[in-house]
Amino acid sequence: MLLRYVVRRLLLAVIVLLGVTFLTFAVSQLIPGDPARLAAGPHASEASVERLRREYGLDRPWPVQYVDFLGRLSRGNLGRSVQTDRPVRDEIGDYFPATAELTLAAIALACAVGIPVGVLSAVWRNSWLDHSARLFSLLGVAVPSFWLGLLLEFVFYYRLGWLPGEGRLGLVTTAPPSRTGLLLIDSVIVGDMNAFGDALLHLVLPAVALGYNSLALVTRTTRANLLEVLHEDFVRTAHAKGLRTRSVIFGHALRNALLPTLTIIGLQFGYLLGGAILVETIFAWPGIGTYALNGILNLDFPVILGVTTTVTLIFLVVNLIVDVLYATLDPRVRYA
Amino acid sequence: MVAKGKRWPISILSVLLVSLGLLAFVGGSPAQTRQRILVHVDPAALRSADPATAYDAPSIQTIRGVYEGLVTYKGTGPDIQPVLATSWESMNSGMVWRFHLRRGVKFHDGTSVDANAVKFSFDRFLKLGKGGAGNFEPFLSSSGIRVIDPYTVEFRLTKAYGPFLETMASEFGPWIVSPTAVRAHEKNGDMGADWLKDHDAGSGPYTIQSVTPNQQVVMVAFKDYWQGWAPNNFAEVIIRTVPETTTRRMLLERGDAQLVNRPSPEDADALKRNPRIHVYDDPEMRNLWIILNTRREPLNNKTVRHALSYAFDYKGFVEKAEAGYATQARGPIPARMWGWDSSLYQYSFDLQEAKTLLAQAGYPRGNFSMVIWHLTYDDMRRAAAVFQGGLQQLGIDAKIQQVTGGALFDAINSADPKKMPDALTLYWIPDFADPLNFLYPVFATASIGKGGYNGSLYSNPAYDSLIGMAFGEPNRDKRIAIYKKAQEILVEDAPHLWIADLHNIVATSNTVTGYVFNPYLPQTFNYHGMRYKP
Repeated sequence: MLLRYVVRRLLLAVIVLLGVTFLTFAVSQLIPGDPARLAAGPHASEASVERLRREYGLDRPWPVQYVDFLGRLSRGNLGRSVQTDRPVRDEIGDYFPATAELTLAAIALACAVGIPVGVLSAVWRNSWLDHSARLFSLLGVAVPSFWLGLLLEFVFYYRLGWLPGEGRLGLVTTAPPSRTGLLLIDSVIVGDMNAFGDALLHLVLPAVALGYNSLALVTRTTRANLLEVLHEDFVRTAHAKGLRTRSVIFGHALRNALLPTLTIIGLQFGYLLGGAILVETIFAWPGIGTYALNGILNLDFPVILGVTTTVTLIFLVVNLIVDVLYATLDPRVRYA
Repeated sequence: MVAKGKRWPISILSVLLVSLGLLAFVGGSPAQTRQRILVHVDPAALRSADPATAYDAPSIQTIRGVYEGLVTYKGTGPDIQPVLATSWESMNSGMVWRFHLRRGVKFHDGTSVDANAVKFSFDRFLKLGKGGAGNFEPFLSSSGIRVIDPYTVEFRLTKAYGPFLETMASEFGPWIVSPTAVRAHEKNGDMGADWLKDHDAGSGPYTIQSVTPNQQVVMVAFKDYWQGWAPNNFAEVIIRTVPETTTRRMLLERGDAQLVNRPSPEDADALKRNPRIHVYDDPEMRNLWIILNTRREPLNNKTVRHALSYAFDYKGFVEKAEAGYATQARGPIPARMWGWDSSLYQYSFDLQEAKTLLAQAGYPRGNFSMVIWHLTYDDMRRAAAVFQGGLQQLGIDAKIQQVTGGALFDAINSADPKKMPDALTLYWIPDFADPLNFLYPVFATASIGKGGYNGSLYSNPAYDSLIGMAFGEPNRDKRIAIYKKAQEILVEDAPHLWIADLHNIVATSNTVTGYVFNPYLPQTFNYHGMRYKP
């Protein structure tokens, strides 16, 4: 039954992708501007611009361009960037792992800190720890990520010199051979612990800047849901049966309380993936956010479509995984 | 509920606190760069290192480090100096130019720079037809480039072109590439374009070691460079992309970068107070205008345009908005460009005069509205705001709209007065060191519409005739006389407000010397001329 559900969701994903790409294509056609002129530069002759237009098929009617795009997409070809003339798939392959690593780190931080703090906050409700945690998470929801990023950079890099201020690796560190594009994993694969350590240090500040908001949401959700669950009858029964508090919380209550948190995490993943651009800019993190923004500003249609398609696909997959995890965590959940 | 036995919550708390504490000890700032490495942090990333097609500043920065042309601009001015050519002569009233090449110069692949390489490079440049090729297409074709002997190459122009030598010294296009390297990496007839995006085939002082997209370019010294090396030249130049100005400033002040391009005026002021940093502030060729739509009422009335020219607080803009990193413009070309006329009339902020002129034009209380466009750049946005402030004091309802480059180019190329706003702020950077590169593409009638940049839709036959004369005039003094008259016409007709000549701001660590800014080679750096100070 679960398998049938997954297959159905995958088929729906195709329809969603078609809809998203069509809308993106249509909207980008409405934006005023000539991408060929932008790519050629203001001093380029009209003949140069026309050549560029023909080269990228921009002289054809947009429905033809869209059908052509779908044909290429079915073969995994996302076209070539008008600005750089490089395959968009290759460029996304260059930039996406950086954003993925940052996003995963931010989510990991949100879960690793947010869930325990949420649990402690719920268990020790109205204590100094609870109040501190709530203030901490309130700030997380209120503070903009770019401001936090600048503040972290100023304190931990500029003033204290504890952590690096930009980039994924230091100048003197050689990047490990790329297997996944995720530097932490690639360096472990080849056993380059120097690169691992350097990459980890570079990841700290941007991950905190990006993840703080999610951490706050996870903390608040975990706390609220755990508080609710702790008053359920089955929890009272567990206590009455003589189970230790730790067993009651981790063995019974938390599992139920985590379901809404899981939804938040899934949604946050998509949000962080698309919203990392400000943090990427501050920390010179070479991710897909900056790539997408440059594509939009330069009307680089292949880039705009490529990024939209990729991010949509990932969002759909992540949410499918969240739904499957739901069924795993809660046996009551059955998908038709 | 109260937890009995608080050991496990304390355990969780302890783990969290210890982890945070460990971070403080594990961390450490990145290792200081070695002395002979120059780290240059720039706001934008390399798009392509292909010298025939690149047209953006970050790409040209790299290209200037690894390639050379036949000639270049000397020092800080417009005079031409030899590079790969040692001498040249023009014949037939400037229709034929012959260049004699330097002997013994090698490309990075070990092959020799000779006349065949020059012909190959220009043929490739013209055939690809991108980047700066548009500057050459009006007067040069491949058939006009001839190899006379291994070290002599001749250019036969299709029509007389006064600024030929200045265009050859430009940083947009006429770089010489190794035919051997290009042919070895050609794929599907692309003339090596794909390979050259992140590799080089040059003869310049540095060679590209690696390009990490959107992150950095690493260039290392070419040991057989014909100009040789001083002991304290930089052995490596790393151009690192750091979009955020505050981050660039912090990197410079911490010593993790030695050169920062384009700090904001606020950061530049702060850096000036740091005794370990030197800030270079030079007027450049980038001048800021407000372009008026001369085909739309009431801006089609010259008296109204004169009135609006008095409605801008030039001094306030330069001193406050640009924090002194600009100079009020006098006319359509920047003051550093040869041929600039220092006697031109300069408008001032005079609302009384503006009101008088508006009344003469039939708008005593203003009572009309205007839309002002600007791009995302701070100085354009500020200029639009200052203009809006002045207009509102004249009773003119001015609205500001930020637009993308695409929308702006679209409107300008349409030549449709209805598609253009009433005014837009823009700056212009010339491709080569000749006033013609301002006066023709921006103000000539032939530059209205596609391929041109005449956003004001200005058209004046007398002006066009003058500019036509300048095209074919090889004598610089005669061109200066022509340009003087052209500038006077433009200031009188006022299709633009001449706002400011902007400044080029660069900050370096005090361990770096030898940086020389040439406004005719904008937004690039003389890496080979720079030295580190131990």
